[in-house]
Amino acid sequence: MGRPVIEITSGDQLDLNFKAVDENGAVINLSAFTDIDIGLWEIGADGLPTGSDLLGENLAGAVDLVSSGTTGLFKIGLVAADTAALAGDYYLEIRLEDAASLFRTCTPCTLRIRADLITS
Amino acid sequence: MATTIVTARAITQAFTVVWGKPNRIVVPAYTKNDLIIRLNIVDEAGDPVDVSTYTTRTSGIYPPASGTADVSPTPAFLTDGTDGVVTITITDSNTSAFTTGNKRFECQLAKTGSKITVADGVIQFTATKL
Repeated sequence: MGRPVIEITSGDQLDLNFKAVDENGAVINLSAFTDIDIGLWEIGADGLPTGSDLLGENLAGAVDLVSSGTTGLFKIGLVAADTAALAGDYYLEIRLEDAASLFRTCTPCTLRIRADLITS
Repeated sequence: MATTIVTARAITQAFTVVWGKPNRIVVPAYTKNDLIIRLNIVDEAGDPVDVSTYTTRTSGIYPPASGTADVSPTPAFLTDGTDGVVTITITDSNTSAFTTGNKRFECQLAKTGSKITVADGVIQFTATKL
C-alpha cells in the first residue's frame, strides 16, 4: 500500500490534520498519550527518507490534540517558514508515545509541496 | 484541510499457535518501536495448553544468515501459563540499530525431558527515522 499523500503549497500557514487508527480501523484514544513526534525528510533516489529532518515537532511544540485526542484526532500547525524553502515530495513520519512510554510509528505519509509563485 | 488517516499497529500482535506443530508467524514491525508478540498456545482441538511447568523459556531475533541472536527476550507468562499464553516483549531500544529487512524469530519452551519450539518465523522490519 502506498503512502497517503498530503498536498500543500510551499510556505502556506495551515494545520495538517490527522486521525490515528489501529490496523483494524479502530480509533486510537490519544488522550493519555505523552507525545506525538512528527518529522519531515527528503526522499532519496531509493524512495527512502534521507538526511537530517527538515521539520521536527511534538506535543510540546506545534503538534496538538484535537478534542483532547479521544477520537484519535491531532494536528500540526505549519507556519510559513516550515515549508517556504521546500518543493517536491517529502517523507513525513509520525510516532506515538503512550502513557507506558511505548512507541508506535504510524503509516508514513508523503507531503507533496507545490512550489508557490507568490513569495512575498 | 482534509484529515489524513494514519494507521499505527497495536503494540501487541497476537498469534494462535498449535502445541507441538511447526508454527510460522510473520510480523510486520517498525524499528525503534515497542512490540509484544503474544502467543496463544492451543492444542489441535483449539483448547489452551497448560504450559505452566515449562519454566525455561527462550526466544531470539536473528539476522537472516547468522545463528547469533541480535536480541534474546525471555518469554513471559501472561498469567501463570495455565492459559497457554506467552508474551515476548521487544523494546524500542532492542530494534533501534535495525535496518529495513527481515529478521528470523524463534520461541522455545522447555522443561526436563521436553523442549518445544512453539513458533518461528519472520519479523519484517521497516526502518524509521524518529
